[in-house]
Amino acid sequence: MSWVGSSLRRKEDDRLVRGQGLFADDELGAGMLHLYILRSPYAHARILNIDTTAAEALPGVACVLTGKDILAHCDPFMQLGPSPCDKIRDLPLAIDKAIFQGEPVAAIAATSPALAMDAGQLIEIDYEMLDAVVDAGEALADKVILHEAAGTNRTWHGVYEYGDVEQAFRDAAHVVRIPRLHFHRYASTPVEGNACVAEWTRQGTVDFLCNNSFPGFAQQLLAPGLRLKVDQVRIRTHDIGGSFGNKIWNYVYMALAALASKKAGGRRVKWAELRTEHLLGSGHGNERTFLDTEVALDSKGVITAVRSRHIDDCGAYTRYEPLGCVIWSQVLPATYKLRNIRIDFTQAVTNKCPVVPNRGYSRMQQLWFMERVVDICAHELRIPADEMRLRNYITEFPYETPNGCVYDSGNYPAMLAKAKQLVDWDKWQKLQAAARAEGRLLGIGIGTTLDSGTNNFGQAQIMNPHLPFSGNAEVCTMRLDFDGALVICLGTGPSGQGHETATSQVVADEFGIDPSAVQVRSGFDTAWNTFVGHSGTYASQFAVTGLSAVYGACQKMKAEMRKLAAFLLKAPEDQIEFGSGAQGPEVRVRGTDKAMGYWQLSNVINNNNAMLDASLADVTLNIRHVYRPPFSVPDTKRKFGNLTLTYAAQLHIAVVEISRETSRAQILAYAAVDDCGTVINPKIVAGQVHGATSHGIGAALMESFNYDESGNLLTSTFSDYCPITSLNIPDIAYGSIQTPSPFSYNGAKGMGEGGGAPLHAISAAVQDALYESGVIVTGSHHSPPAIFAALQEPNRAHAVSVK
Amino acid sequence: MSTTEPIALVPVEVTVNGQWYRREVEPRLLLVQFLREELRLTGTHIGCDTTYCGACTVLLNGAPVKSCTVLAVQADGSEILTVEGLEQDGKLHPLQTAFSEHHGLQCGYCTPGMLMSAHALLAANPEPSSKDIRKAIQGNLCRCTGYQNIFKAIEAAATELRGKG
Amino acid sequence: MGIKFDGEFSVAAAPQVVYDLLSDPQKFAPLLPTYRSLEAKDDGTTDVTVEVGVGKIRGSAVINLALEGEEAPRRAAYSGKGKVMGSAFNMQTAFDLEAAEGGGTRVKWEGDLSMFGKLVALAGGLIRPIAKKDIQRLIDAIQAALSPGQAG
Repeated sequence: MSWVGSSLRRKEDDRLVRGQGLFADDELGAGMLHLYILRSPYAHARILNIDTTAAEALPGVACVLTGKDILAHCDPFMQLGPSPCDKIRDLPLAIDKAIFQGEPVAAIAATSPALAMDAGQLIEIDYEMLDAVVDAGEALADKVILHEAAGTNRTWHGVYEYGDVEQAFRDAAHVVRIPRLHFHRYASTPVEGNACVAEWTRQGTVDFLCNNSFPGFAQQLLAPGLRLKVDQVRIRTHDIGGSFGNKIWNYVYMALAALASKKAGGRRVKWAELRTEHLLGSGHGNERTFLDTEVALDSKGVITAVRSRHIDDCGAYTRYEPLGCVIWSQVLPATYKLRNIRIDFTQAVTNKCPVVPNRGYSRMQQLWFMERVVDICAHELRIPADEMRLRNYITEFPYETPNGCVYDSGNYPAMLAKAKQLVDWDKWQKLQAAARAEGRLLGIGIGTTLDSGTNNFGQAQIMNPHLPFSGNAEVCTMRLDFDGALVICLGTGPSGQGHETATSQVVADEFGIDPSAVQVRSGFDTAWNTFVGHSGTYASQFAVTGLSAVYGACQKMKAEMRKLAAFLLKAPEDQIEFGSGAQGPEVRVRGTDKAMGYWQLSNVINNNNAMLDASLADVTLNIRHVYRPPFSVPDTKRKFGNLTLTYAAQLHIAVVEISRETSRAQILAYAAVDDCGTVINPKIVAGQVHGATSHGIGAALMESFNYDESGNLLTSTFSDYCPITSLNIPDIAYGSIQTPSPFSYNGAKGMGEGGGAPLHAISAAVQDALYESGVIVTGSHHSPPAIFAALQEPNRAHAVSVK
Repeated sequence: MSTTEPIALVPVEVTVNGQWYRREVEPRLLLVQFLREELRLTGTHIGCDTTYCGACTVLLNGAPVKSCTVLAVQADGSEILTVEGLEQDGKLHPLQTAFSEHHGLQCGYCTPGMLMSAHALLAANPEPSSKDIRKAIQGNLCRCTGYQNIFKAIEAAATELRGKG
Repeated sequence: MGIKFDGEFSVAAAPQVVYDLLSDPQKFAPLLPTYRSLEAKDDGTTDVTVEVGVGKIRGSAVINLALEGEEAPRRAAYSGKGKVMGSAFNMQTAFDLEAAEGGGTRVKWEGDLSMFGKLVALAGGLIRPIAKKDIQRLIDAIQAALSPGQAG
């Protein structure tokens, strides 16, 4: 039998259901200090004076940090972007001005969290309030400037142009104009907040136990920031309570905890973020506005060209940005076959929380945009929603997009058919007609999306040609242990994706053994794991990069074991086979009863090697394999190249009814169809689809970071932000098809992010429900207040035009 | 409004998972902090500061409470069950098994609170409808699973427990 | 979050008397509805401690009041800033006085309150009615102080 493809129960669960996981905040210890961060209540204010005297005098306070300490012991974090991003001074505390509400201004380490918080109230800060800018479009006018050294709020600008856009518009049968679309700000916000324990050791190094989800990247930023060598920064993670990308830039806070430990004489300092802090200051998803969109269509409703102007709002600091200004172009035409595209892309800083890669990062915004375009055109041209998709879908694979990305495989019409069947499309068509006759607002929406996985980091050079990044890689180390167990270390550092289990399945198949004979280490440690700069769990890459590394390590290990067994069993190598015998995992000579257990092989190499001859000198049973996907550096001038290896797809259909009394959109039926190529563990894949669907539904109907005009975050607690609960999630009818990827050894495609399909489907369903009321859906958030406002002032007259 | 004087400690006696404890604590110490920091039972997690997420749910004299919204001193004299107390004689509770079998957890951070809310539900209502299940865990946030498999797991555990009863 | 208020009221006292009260924090501040204490600072400003709260969230706030732009006996204006429970607020308020018939004074007033921070998120929607109510109580107190026997 094959373990790959089976719903093996997860290995991780044994500790997690017992409450025996080790999350960063679970680290306890005598003498540990606790860090409290004092944050700016203002979105934009000059810091005139900070008086820490009373706080420092409070018994139990070990130290107080302000901007002065930071300048003395810390250098600004490296910025990825080209000029003017290089002039942005990004430090763990605001120095002379705060530029978003919740930006850290001072920090206190004390013997208990409560004492540290008490001390925080004794710090006196004089602020001079400055005007805030909370809209990216306004920020581009540079009337209020966040980073004075940069001299502008514009962090990036580029034009993506392919095909002959002008000609396509000249030839068009219809031109649809959509002046403004807007993708709102939200985050997948894991239940575990950011946390770390930092210790500035006696050796002058720093040791972190934390929940950073991209430690290889964090280490490269933290070391120069803390004025250390990279190897002097040790980052350990164990269980991580969800990340969804949000825990990529908590290195800023890790640095603060490290500096507090340094100032407190090397005592261990724990920082465990409060939820309000998380929502205020730990990373939001990218907010994006799409202006002056024009769509050219032929007489059959086939889209031939799109031109548009996109403005991305990255919040107060760039950090991982402006990478998002390029990442979206992995899915430039979405699932559609148009060849002529011109998108003018700009990003600006605003006085809001900095953005962070959030599940579906940057691509989801583009996919939502394209889905709105297709959907609005369908309504305006009176083409049924399903028919419009079928006329426009890409149908031949591998498919090279206008910007050189290669969609590996897929079958969108089959997904649509499956989703229609799951949701019972025909029934809902009839019910919709009946509901409309009664004046009820019932809508059916389709969302087709892509989950591009395994980045080519060369795309970073499109954003900044000087960046020394390209390709991608992941690492697996494997050892045959004394007891015959295959012990595996990954570079990935997962946060709930079941890597221990999926890895065991792959290894079990390669060796013909039971997954229980495979031990995958949980957690990650820069001091012991081997890893590369790309290592980590992000951007839907594990099924390809992670498992390819595991697969490669298996082949190397088998080659060594085969060579050793052939020598010991005095048989030719090609007669050695792998499998399980009465004593467990073994190697044997084909067609004989000559066999050796794994522990015996290990023992020869590790304890009992006197009989070995020189031909076995290179056998160590200690393997390291690095998998590198085949990529080349994109043409940065043309913005052309293959930016991602695999393209998983999802197709969702939502049926919603909007109450005329409450303006609430309620989901009546929901179907989600996934295609991630060959499935390693169906249970884990379905779980990822459910999770991504829940984030999307939450974002579409409930969750939004709302700022007022002064930059106050109005949704800074869970009670205001309203993450989706068991009462709000509909039953999800789940289905899948499999179009194996020709580009991965196992046919799998990364699929963890989901591509934001529920946002596309729900926006389309709300559109369908409200179209006859004269409403064009131009936003991605469909809370009752948003729908109420839309129904009060139907916008069709100015939100769309057709020529 | 800040406290600058040392706070007088108050004795608290509780029985947690069958084990008796006595500690002296600040009156403002939350039950969840007491469990995690004083008793080192870190299976009970903290996920928010407005009693929304339920990661800290424990049973206080049999009733589910969010231990971030109970003071340790309020729990004085009570019996508490936490996730660490579910396993008996080396055997997982049917809820624990069902959560794993049905993939009702991913990162595992919300799981202890989920298990405790589900435990309270099944104690009061051995045959819950799907609506009962949704209502019982409405105060327990999960960001990974989309709840679908949690519903299945609780249903399966209910069936299992009824078979035993 | 910003809230603007304005209004007018009449009192029996003469403009100079009204001005003397409104331009003296020592006399004026105790009329604030949740007034607790007051401390004159070396720089001529005054720290006024008041009780604030929304629902069960209660605490005290210190407002640093600076008298500015006063013009006897026609105008008294204050700017104030303070912080409470991890939040901050700024306020501007001005009283313009006009002699009214019968020796009394007509007071036109305006106020501009800006709030920042946690409290806005926690209680944003509630602040406006609470502020409105407290302002009305302040006006009532000023009227009572300056129109003996006519209060209410």
